[in-house]
Amino acid sequence: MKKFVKVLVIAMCVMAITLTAAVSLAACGKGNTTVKIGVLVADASGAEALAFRNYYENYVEKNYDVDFVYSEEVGSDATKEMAELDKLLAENCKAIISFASCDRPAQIEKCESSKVYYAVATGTLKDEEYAEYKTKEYFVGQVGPSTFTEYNVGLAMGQYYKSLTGDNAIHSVALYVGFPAPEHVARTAGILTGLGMTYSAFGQSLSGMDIVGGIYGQDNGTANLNNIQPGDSGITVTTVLSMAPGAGLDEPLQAMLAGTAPDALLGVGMVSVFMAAQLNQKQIPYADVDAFTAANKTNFESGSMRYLAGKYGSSVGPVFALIMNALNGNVIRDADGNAVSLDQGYMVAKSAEEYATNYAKESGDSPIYNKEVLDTVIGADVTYQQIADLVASK
Amino acid sequence: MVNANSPVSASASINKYKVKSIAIAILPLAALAFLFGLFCIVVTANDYNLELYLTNVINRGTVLVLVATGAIFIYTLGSFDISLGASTLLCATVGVLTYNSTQNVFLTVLVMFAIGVGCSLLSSLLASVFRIPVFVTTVAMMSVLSAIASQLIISNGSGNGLSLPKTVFGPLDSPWIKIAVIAVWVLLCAFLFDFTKIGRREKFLGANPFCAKLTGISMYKYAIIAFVMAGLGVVLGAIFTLSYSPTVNTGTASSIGMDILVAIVFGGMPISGGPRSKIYASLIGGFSYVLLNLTLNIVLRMAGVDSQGSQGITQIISAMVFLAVVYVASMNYRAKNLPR
Amino acid sequence: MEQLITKQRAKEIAKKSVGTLAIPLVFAVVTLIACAAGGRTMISGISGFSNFLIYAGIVTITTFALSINLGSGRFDFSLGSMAVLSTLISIKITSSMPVSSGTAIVNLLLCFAVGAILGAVSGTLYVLLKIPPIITSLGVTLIFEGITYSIASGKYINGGEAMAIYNFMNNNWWFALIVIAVTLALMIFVFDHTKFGRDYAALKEGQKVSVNTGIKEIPNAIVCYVICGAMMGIVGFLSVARSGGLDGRSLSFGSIGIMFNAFLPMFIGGFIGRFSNDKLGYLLAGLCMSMLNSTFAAYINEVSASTQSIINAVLLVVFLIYLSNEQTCKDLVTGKLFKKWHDAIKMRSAQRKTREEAE
Repeated sequence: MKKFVKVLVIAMCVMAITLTAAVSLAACGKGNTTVKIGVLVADASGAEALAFRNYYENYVEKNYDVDFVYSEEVGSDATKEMAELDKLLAENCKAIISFASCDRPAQIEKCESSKVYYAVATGTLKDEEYAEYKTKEYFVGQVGPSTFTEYNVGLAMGQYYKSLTGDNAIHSVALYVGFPAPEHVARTAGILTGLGMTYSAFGQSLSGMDIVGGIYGQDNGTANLNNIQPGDSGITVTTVLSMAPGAGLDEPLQAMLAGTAPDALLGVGMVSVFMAAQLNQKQIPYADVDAFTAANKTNFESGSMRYLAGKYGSSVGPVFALIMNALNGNVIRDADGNAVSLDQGYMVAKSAEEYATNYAKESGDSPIYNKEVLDTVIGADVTYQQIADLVASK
Repeated sequence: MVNANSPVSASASINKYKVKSIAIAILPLAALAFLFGLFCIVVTANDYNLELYLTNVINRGTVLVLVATGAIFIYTLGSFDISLGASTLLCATVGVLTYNSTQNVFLTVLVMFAIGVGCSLLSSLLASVFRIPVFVTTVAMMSVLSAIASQLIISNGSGNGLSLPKTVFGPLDSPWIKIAVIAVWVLLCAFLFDFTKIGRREKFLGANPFCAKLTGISMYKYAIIAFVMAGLGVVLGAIFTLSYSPTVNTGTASSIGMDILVAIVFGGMPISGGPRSKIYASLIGGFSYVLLNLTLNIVLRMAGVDSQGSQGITQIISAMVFLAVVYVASMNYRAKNLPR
Repeated sequence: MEQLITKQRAKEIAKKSVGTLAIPLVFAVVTLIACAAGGRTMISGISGFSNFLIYAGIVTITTFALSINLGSGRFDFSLGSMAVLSTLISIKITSSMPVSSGTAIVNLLLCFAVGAILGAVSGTLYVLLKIPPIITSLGVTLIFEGITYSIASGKYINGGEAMAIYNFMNNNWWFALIVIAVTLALMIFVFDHTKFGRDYAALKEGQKVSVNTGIKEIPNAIVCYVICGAMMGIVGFLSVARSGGLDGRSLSFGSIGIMFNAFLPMFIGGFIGRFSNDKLGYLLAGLCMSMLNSTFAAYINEVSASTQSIINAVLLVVFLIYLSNEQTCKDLVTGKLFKKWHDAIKMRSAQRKTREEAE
């Protein structure tokens, strides 16, 4: 037996070496002119992330001479984020599209010193960060929802539910406030304001965007039920669910499902991942900020999803166009000579029909930003205004 | 024909044992050299930038090696500490907060030293004075330290973590400086470990604490020294974490505590500590582990597995290689009964 | 004489009962007062009770699994990875079956069986490689996590395949009770009333002597790992019942957190076990942990997650300080400690005086 194990170990090692050498040699001499674009991702498995990846790898790669090299999922670790960025640079990526936000200034500086084009594809830099880096030579720009847009997404959701009347009128809601991430906190502030509510922090009653500071400064980035003050709409918040590290979603979720059901659950993202099945089963209506995916189509049609503010796979088309232009020598700048900064909104569906209509606009073979559309903004003469107009139109 | 009981046979057997022992002793180093060669082949075959990739290896390995080298003093005693990742996170977090409120680098480093060594001393106090099993102490410390760090990061940051100006520790972010610091730290630890009574007594305590106690060696004293050395490793780790990435998030250094275990075992150190402990195990093992993971990652992607899928498979293969290396390295030390 | 024996026996029973129930009662009183003080309810309705039982089951059975190998000096990091992988394989196998009670039962049996197989793999590797169990468990954890990640494509699995378990367990609270009771009975039977259990106890106390007396250590160790795996399969099943999902994203030892929840109940259970049976002690400790968890849930808006972690860790440390320094603590409470210190100081000063006089 001992001998067998020894042989097995040696065989495993020899096999590994042979395999590695064979694959390496096979790769030798593969002359490749395709441009490599590195994609730095914080989350690689969420619906939105998968939709973006599907668009890049299965549509853009087929239509343009580019190769997207994806990083490993970096999560909430700035050190890993930097190590993965370094790896993409070592693999000769000529540009980086970033979906990771642990330390964006460090990413920009690294790409600048490596003379590699860089663009932000999800969320945007803080105002002071953008002001600092907007003139950097290799910082191409950012196309995504700004913090204010994220706030407005929540605001629209809150206002919609507040405006419902008659049989659809809402009296109680549960909130799912996600992680202590800037976009989630901004959406939460928007929802509360939209519902006509205020937030108590530091002895003050905060409203609007001020709520963001209150949630961070006082409550570690997670809205606290005790500090939510109902307004004059008569709507009350019965439960606040969160995925803050170690917060424990299970008990409050089970308690909510077991008790008197709220009239609706308003979520700031990834409700479909963590609790859609339970909500669908209990027929508790819910709203979320997510992506237009097949799973959410089912949630709308046969589940209890009633509202979705979502992105679609090809939302990341314009940022690709910016990078392609830069790689082809046309680094687009705005009127003041700064890197592009474009705010990108969400598509909203409030019924299964609206969802179906929006979902149909985006398909694998013909996405919203298909080749025909992208070609109008990829070229030597393309200007800032053309890209801005295109993003505004979608 | 040589009689099996003859002196010639006995000497041949001793020689064979010696050769085997030497072979096993140099196995971790040989494995590192082999992995390094393989890594270079794979990177070059893909037309990747070898220089940048090697810098990446150093960046990934530096913090692990610095913290693990200090931790070897604890492991030599036959104890282990899985809270070192959380200590590194807390140390870095408090460092950022201190600098941001004082703009004083000297004070920042001083506070980081106080936190790093303080956390370690607290662990050693609980373990040696209150006689709590070390593994449970470190589990509890891990929970407490990471909870405090998370609370500090979230309440003082704005969602993306806590940042320090790159100029504070950024100048240390050079591969040559990292190599130099690793060299100095490993040599210092090697001196203490191999040429002073601290190392000798720690090995003795690790091998037979009862016997060591009877000869007048204080377990408390050497446990405290071991934890202080680990604390110094944590401080260095935290400084180089901030030099590479000046932002700390809740996930920073989260896997260091367990990676240390894998790295030092990979480097040829017995987990039971004692006289066979080697200070350079962290250096060899840490870089071997990084090289193995990066090589596998590249090879799998070359074989058509995407980056997402390759993470799981890389982990499976590297774990199998880990077990195989440990198996071969421990062939000379098999006991009749199952090890515990 | 007979009366005296009966009296002594009654005293012994009373002592055992008090020793067994003291900690759970203290936990119950403290948590109930804490909830009442804030006008909260620790367990509300059948669903709350179901959650309470499921959580108690998770902690108790993890403690069973942790104690089996840890008690024998085998540290096993792979418990969490076995729980997740066995449940993932099970729900993948039953994915084409309807969401029904039958499917949930099949899932439980599959979790148990797959967990046992994973445990067998882990145990066989340990006895084959003959390297320290902590190292084997590091490798096994990484392998199981890697397999889980690959099967789940690094995703969190919610609904669909997991709903059969979730629905069944949340609609039939008594089933969790049955699972806990059967597991407890199984553990007591296997470890206290079989030859395997006696061999296990002997090996635990003295490995060398036991092996020399003819006890076969290798099969015993493998069976221990098999039982651990099967237990963790049940834990995985109960975890899905609790959350309705399964996290397939853990890599780089992300799964080991599951076992950390079992340390405190293991030590509390061990303490209770001195007065009755250690397995019963683990169950009672599991119930204590569930009471604490439900109290935290009742105060979710007041007690942050970080504070909960700190409270749990401090409880663990305080309890261990007590366990490791029991006599000193008792002396402290009864005042004997001060007397001892006083005597020691007195003796030293007397010695000094004698020395000074001699000089």
